[in-house]
Amino acid sequence: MNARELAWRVFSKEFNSSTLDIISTEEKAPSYVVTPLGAKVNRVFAVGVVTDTENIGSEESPMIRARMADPSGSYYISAGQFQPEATMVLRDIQPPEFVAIVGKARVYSPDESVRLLSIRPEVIRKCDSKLRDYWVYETCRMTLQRIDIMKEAMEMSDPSVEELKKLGYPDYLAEGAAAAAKHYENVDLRAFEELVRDSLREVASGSTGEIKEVDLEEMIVSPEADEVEVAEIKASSEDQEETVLQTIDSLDKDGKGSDWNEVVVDAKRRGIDRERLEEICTDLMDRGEIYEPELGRLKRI
Amino acid sequence: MDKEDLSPHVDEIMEAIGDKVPREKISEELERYIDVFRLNIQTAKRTILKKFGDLTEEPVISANLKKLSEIQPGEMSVNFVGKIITVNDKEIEARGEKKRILYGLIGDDTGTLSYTVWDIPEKRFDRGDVISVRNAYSKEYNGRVQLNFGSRTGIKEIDEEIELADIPISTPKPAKIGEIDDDARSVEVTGRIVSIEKKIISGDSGPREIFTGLIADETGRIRFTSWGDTRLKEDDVVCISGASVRFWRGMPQLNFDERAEITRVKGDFPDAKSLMESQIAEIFSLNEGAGAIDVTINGVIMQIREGSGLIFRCPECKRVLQKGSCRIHGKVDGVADLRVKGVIDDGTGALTAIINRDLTEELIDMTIDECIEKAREVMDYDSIKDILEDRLLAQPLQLRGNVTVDEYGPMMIAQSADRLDPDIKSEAEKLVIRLEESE
Ligand SMILES: [Zn+2]
Repeated sequence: MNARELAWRVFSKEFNSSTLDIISTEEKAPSYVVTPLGAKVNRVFAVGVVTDTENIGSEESPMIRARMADPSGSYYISAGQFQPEATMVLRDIQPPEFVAIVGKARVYSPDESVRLLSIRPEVIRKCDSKLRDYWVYETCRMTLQRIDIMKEAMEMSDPSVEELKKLGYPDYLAEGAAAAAKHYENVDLRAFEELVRDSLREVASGSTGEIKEVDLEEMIVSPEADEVEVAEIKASSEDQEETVLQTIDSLDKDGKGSDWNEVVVDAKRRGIDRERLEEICTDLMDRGEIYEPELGRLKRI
Repeated sequence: MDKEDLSPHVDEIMEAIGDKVPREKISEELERYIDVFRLNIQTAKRTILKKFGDLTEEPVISANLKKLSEIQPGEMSVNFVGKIITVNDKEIEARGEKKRILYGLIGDDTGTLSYTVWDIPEKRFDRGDVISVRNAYSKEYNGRVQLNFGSRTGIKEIDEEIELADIPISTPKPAKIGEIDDDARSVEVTGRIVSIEKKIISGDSGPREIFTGLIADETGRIRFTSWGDTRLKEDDVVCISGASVRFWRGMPQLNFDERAEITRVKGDFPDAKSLMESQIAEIFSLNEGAGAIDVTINGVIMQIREGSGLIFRCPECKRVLQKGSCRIHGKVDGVADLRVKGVIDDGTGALTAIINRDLTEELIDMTIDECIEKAREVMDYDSIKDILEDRLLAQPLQLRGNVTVDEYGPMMIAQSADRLDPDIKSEAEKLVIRLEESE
């Protein structure tokens, strides 16, 4: 089944304190972050208040980092050239603003001292406090379900998906809970219960739109984070250069270079749009790695 | 090979293809295939039939006919005659293309096997038909031999009656309606008839009355067809024993006739209204099953897919036009339509929902004419997709409809779509109180 990855409703505190990653070794198989309550997250849906944004890229090629507060802390969001729409929306936001976001969980951990969890957005929309309350309520409800299953899992001597399923829990909860119960030493379930209760009271009392002070210590943000981020972007653009070079090589069947239009089609298939392809090719030409033997053809030197 | 020797084979071929082609021509071809191409006589004949005639019209000539019980898994080309016991119809997605297949059970005097038809023949067969099948192939599935009819396979209905093997009819399995799945062939269900209507269909022996409707218990509801007047009435609570389960578009249905044992059930049973009040389903539960009828889900729109917005359909066949052209009818004047193909996610799973024009108009508070006008203003029909995104992305909706499942997960054709606007404040209050009470 190629079913789409579900979008978890998870408070930022739960998400940010995840230390278990499931990284797929197979190509195209999804990777996950497993939270202390056993959410096996590839995608999240979160609603909160954007409290600050910063462009760490350039004017032409913006790279936006933002913080989005929820009742438990803040989500860390970053969007760059590969999320052009989300980047534009984020760039135009004047904090504070309610925002709904759908995105992929990302982990940057170049070494043991740095571990930064963030969301790379697929969709960002400005919204209102009503949607925020809806999200907080839904997230409370689902956090309680995870607390329930974790209570069971933590009592098991050898927590397993099968055992949890026998208790009536569905697959999507059982998998993460079994993994979390094995990995996390002791999870403070009471603290999460309190978080849920406080959040529900907040919604019930109708105190909407009030932004809490963001507890920055909760974010494991280090000064290196930006560099990590930039290095990540660099790495992925180097990958793309390699992809483009390979494409140019493989389409060059008679030694006279490959046809530009075919390169465009092939690159698109590999997830590189035309604009980005033009950028990469200009770079490669500047560096003398490719040239144009005749108009509309590219060849590797 | 001598011309004389070939003569009976030429006769056979002529009989199969009729007088479309002169006899000398066939004789010449057959000679050439055998002498020049060195094909054996069977292959040569088959090749000629393929070239000049319709393969499906090929009579069973000197074929090595097998009994169903003799067929082993992994046979590349098997020929047999069998009687269709069941035939179901299903839409699947293969390599990104929607495709219909047929599947069911076929039997002869030695046993029964399940079959799948990957290329539906023009003339479809029906339950009770006896067919002659050539060039089918077999596989093993769940430890059983399964027959596959592919593009090379010739299927021909023949006028012959065959006795089915005496297979002990399994006693109907008692089942809750919501739990009926692929494994069940014959079931016993107890439920309330929440709707029933008479339909007249035209059969071989003239028009025939059938009754279709919904029967429900506390676990779900299922569509049924009664092939004959079983005197069921709306609101009856009955136990139906010996109904057969069939899947249509991935959704189970019950079929029965006068032979089913139907008894009226007395005692307490939930009324129709409470049975029909759809419960909110969690999407993960739809992922696992075989589809579901009339489900309600609450979720958030995560993505507006390609193919959403203003689309133009062929006036002939209703297919969506690509660049003003229909795949079948070429350049036509398209008829405008509006739809949302959206990903809905409730935090337990995701499904694709197809929301039709009427529902979309309500949701975005714009009529299709306003959309067309707007699109013309900015000279871009794609701009309507942007409007859909603006008004719907990240919004919670309640959808109700039938769900089918294929390898890309569940899909719902929405019958209703409303913005979800719960009283969150009081819901939150209720949940806090419940939490505090449980301490
Ligand atoms: Zn058409």
